[in-house]
Amino acid sequence: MSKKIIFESSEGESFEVDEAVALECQTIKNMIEDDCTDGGIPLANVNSATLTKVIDYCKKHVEAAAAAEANAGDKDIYGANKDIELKTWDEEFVKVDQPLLFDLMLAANFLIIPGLLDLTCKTMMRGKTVLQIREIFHIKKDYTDAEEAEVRKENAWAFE
Amino acid sequence: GVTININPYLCCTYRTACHQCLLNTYLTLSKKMSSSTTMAKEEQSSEPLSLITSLPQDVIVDILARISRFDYPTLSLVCKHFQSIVTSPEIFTRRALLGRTEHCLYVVLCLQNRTRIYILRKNKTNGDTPLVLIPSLPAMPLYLNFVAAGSRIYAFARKSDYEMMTLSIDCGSHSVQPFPSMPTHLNLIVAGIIEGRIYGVGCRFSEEWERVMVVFDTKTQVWEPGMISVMKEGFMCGCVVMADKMYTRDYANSFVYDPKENKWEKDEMLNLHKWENACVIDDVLYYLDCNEKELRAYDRKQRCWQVVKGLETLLPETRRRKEWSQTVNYDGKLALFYPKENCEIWCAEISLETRQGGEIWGTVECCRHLVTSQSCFMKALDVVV
Repeated sequence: MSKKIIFESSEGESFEVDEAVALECQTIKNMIEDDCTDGGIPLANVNSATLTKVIDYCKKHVEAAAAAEANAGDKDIYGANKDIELKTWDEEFVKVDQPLLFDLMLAANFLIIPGLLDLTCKTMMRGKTVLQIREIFHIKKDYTDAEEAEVRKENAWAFE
Repeated sequence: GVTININPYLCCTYRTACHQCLLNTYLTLSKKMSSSTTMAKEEQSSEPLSLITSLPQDVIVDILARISRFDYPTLSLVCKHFQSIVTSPEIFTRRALLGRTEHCLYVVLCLQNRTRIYILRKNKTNGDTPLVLIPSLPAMPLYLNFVAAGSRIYAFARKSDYEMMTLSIDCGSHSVQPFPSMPTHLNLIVAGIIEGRIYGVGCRFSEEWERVMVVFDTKTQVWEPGMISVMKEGFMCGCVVMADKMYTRDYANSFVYDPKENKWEKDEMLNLHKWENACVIDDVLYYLDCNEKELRAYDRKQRCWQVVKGLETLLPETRRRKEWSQTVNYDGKLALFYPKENCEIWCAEISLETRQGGEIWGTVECCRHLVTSQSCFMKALDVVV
């Protein structure tokens, strides 16, 4: 029997996970190493919906890593053996609404899960227009039209 | 139970922002967010809160560093805060630290007698030229050479018979920074970079022509004192680095320089072909032989040449203009710049594989028309930003 770790979401809900899954989070890994996880880890800043997703992600990646190791021992998750399945899974995983995606990104940042942080950051911005990004993050335009034209000119290399 | 709050060092060892501060912001933000989402559902009673900009600066940098560099121009336009971040040296340092750097092809091109720096768009574009001018980078002198070191391009330009110009171009912010002048005035420099040091070989005239080498340390940003006499005369016309050694060629010979032993040696095998504008991928040198219309490969370990196969459709289209023919190691692929008829310059991205028996095969992944011009100078570089 592998050791279990208990997370507690901001709503006070308990989530029991295998230690191996919890170890995907650098923050938790440090706590486990320092031996201060008995009685559960309260995550006052991660709600149940987000925590469920985070645990799903960690579980999947632990399984995928174990499978890859059993096969060839490739370290890189999308590496030489081209784990297309995992990549597709990741893509499906982040097909969620923007508030949840943002929550996931903050949780990944806080718990230090580099893979999830990359995935959520990229998904949040990829293929978005300036207006969409402003809308997603509630950012107000602080450029004058002239300033905006200047920035656009300097960055012409990236625009169609 | 142990709360995370009592372990403030957890994050501090990892990043600069204090854990406690991160957590507090996070908590406030979570509240803000849930309230802002409910607000959105009801009626917008007050100004919606900006979610991302209320995060600590360090977290924003961490987030933006993970996004593709090709999205930075869009981010620049979102707001001034984002613009200041994506053009800061800090974010490019962070990208390197996180291993999130990307390869970009930069092209130095002389069009209508003006040598400017362009960037090659990553994706296929419809109609538009994939080559776009970077307006913030100034025009360059006509005779110059370059070496890319990480996110920087170092340029050695000839201003006059007696004056050299050295420029350091930061490809993160697209700005030019001062760069100490060379210890001596050299003509027609070729340069290679080995372990953070740029080795530049050129000719200078003192009583008679002599070939010398100067060394610039990119970490300390200083030229090493003195110069190394190379004892040969004549101009260098090719230079690549393989396995921490510099391979150069003049019109008669090919040489290998080993900086550890400070020794120059002739390489007869390498000299079998007049290689120029070459690149190195996985320890193999590649160049386009314009006359024979072949892509040739030289294996340093086996000490043998071969012709890359699989390019029989592409290469016959090339024209014999060696100044437009270039190979670049573009993130492990070979970017081939080549001229076609009517002065068109094209770029093909070729993936390479070594098959059984050691044959190298190339597969053309895409071909793009870059520009139509009578340009007399072109140089392409792979920059890691």
